[in-house]
Amino acid sequence: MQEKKIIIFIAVLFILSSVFLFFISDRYLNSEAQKDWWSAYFVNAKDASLNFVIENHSQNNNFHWEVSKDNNKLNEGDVNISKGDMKSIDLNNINATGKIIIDVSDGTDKKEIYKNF
Amino acid sequence: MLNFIQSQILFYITLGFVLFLPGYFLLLAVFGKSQTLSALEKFVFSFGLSIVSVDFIFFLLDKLGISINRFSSIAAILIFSAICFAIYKFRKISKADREESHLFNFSRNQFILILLLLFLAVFLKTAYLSRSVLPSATDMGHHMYWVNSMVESGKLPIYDGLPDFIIGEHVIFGIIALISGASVFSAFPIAVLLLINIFSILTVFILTLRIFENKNVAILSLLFLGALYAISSPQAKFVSGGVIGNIMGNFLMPLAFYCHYRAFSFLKEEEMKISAEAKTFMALAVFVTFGLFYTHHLTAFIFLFVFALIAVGFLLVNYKEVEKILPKIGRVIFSPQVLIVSAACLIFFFYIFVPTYVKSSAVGTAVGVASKETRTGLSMDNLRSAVGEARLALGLVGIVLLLIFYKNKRRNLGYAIVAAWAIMVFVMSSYPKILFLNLPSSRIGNYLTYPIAILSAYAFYEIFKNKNINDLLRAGFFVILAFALVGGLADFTDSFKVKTNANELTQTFGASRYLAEPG
Repeated sequence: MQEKKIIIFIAVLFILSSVFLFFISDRYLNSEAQKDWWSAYFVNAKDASLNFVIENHSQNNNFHWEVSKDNNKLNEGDVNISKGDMKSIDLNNINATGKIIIDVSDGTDKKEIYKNF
Repeated sequence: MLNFIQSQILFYITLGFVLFLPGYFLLLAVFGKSQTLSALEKFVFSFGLSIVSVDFIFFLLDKLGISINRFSSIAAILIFSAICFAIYKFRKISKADREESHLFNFSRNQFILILLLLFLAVFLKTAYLSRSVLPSATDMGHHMYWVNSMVESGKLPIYDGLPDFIIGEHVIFGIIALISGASVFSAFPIAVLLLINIFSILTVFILTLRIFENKNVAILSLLFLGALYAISSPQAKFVSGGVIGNIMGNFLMPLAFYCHYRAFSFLKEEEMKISAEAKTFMALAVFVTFGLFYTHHLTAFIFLFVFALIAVGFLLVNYKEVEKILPKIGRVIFSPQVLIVSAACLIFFFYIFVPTYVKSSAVGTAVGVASKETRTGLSMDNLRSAVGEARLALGLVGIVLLLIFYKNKRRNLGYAIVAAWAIMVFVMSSYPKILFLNLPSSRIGNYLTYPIAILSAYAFYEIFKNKNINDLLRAGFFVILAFALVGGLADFTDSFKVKTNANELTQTFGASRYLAEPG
C-alpha cells in the first residue's frame, strides 16, 4: 500500500511540475503575454515583392519606415499600429534592382530588413 | 485555456500509452502477477522496458516500410501490448514464488522522508527548469531537429555521417510528438527528460535497496542523488540542456545493473540454487543493455568497461570458489531465454537497424592517445566540481568502507557492481591514459555522480548507524550533514543569480518559424 502511495505521489508530483512548465513555456511563447517587442518582416521572404509587415507587441504605436537603395530614399511613410496588431505595407510600386533596404523605427529602436534583386 | 487543458490531458495520456503500457504488458508476459518485483520496481521497470520496447517496435515498423504516423504508432503499441497480454494468458506463471515485500515496507518516518526527498528533488528541478523551459541549448536544438524530421517524414531519421546521433535518443520523443501533437517548441522535451531523470533516481533507489538490503541507505541515496545537487550536471542542467543521451544512459545503465544483480543474486546464498527468475532477469539484462546500446554510445562504452571490471573483480575476490561459481554463471547465461533474447537483439543490432556509430569510425576515435588537453584526465579539483565536494568526500569514505566490508559479502555481486562502477568511471575520467582512452574527460566524470551518491549514502549510514554514539561523533554527524546540505543546495541558489532573457529566445523561434514557412 505504501508503495502505491509513493507511485501516486510521484505521478501527481510529475504532472503538477510538468503542467507548470507547460504553462510557463506557453506564456513565453505567447507574444502578447508581458512582452515588449515589435518586428518587421517581408510578407514573403522568397518572392520578388518588397511588401512587408510591422507586427507590434510593444507600448509604442507610431512607426516610421523608409525604403532606400544606395542611401537614396525611394519611399517612406508613417503608420499607427496598436499593441497586438500588425499592418502590411504595400510596396508593389517599387521596381528596383540591387540591394533594397527597408528601415523601420519606433522612435527609439530601429530595425532593418533587405532584399537583393 | 480550454486548448491548454485538452493538450495537457492528451499529453499525459500519451505518456502513459508510450512510456508505461508496452513495458507493463511485457513485464506481465515475463513475470505474470508474481511477487518477484515489488510495486515500485514494476513501476520503474514498466517505464524502462517501454523505452526499449518502443525502440524495437519502431525499428521493425521502419524496416517493414510502414509509415510512422499517429495511427500506425498507436496500432503498433497496441499490437505489441496485446501480444504480450496473450503470452501472459497463455503461460501459467505462479502467482507468488517468493515473498519479497518486507524490503519495501517502510516505517512511518521512513515513508514520510521518502515523500519529502522526492518532493524536494522534483521541486528544486522544476524551479530551475521554469527559468530555462524553452529549448535554448545546442544539444536540445540538434536532437529536436531529428525528432521533428521523424514527425514530418514518417520515417526514422537517417544520420548519414553523423555518428553522434543515435536513434534511441529520438524514437520516444518522435512517437510522443506524433500521438500527442506536442510541439518541440514547448516544455514537452524538458518534461519527458525530467521524467526520465526522476526514474533514474528511483532506479538507483531500488538498486541500493536490493544490494544493501537496508532501507536507510536507500533513502539516503535519494538524498544524495535526488535532493542534493539536484541542479548540477548530470541532473537538471542536462535536462534543460537536452543532453538526451546522458539522461537516458544514466537511467538505463543502473537498470541494466539492477537486472544483472537480480540475475546473479543467488550466488550470495549458501546453496547457490539457480531459479527460473535468475534466467529471466539475465534475459531482461540483455534486453535493457541492447536498449542502452541503441540509445547512447558513450554510456554504452562506459558500461562495457564497468561491466568488465565487475566480472574481473567479482571473480578475483571469489577466486577460491571460481570452479563452483563459473558453471553456475554459465548455466544462467546459456539458458534458452537468455540465448533467444540475445539472438533477437543481435539480429536487430546488425541486420534490422544498425546504430550509426557501428557503421562509422566512432568507436575507433574513442581509443588512442588523447588528442586534446580536455581528454587527458580530470584533476581532483575538476572532480570536486563535477560531483560536489561533500558527495565526493563521503563517496571516497564509502568506497573504502565498501571494500573493507566486501570481504564478508564477497559473493554479493551488488558490492562488486557499486565498487566497479565508481572505480572504473574514476579511472576513465581521471587517468584515461591507463585505458588508452581518447574521450572528453569531463563528460565521463559526470557519470561518477550516480555511484558516488550510492557510496555517500552507504558511508553516511555506516558511520552514524550506531545509536549509542558519543558526543564527538554526534557533532561530526551534524557538521557533515550541514556540509552536504550547504554544498548540495549551493548549485540551486547559484543558478538563480543568472538572469535569463526569454525575449531573445522567443524572437529567435518566431524568426525561424517565419523562415520555415513555404514561400
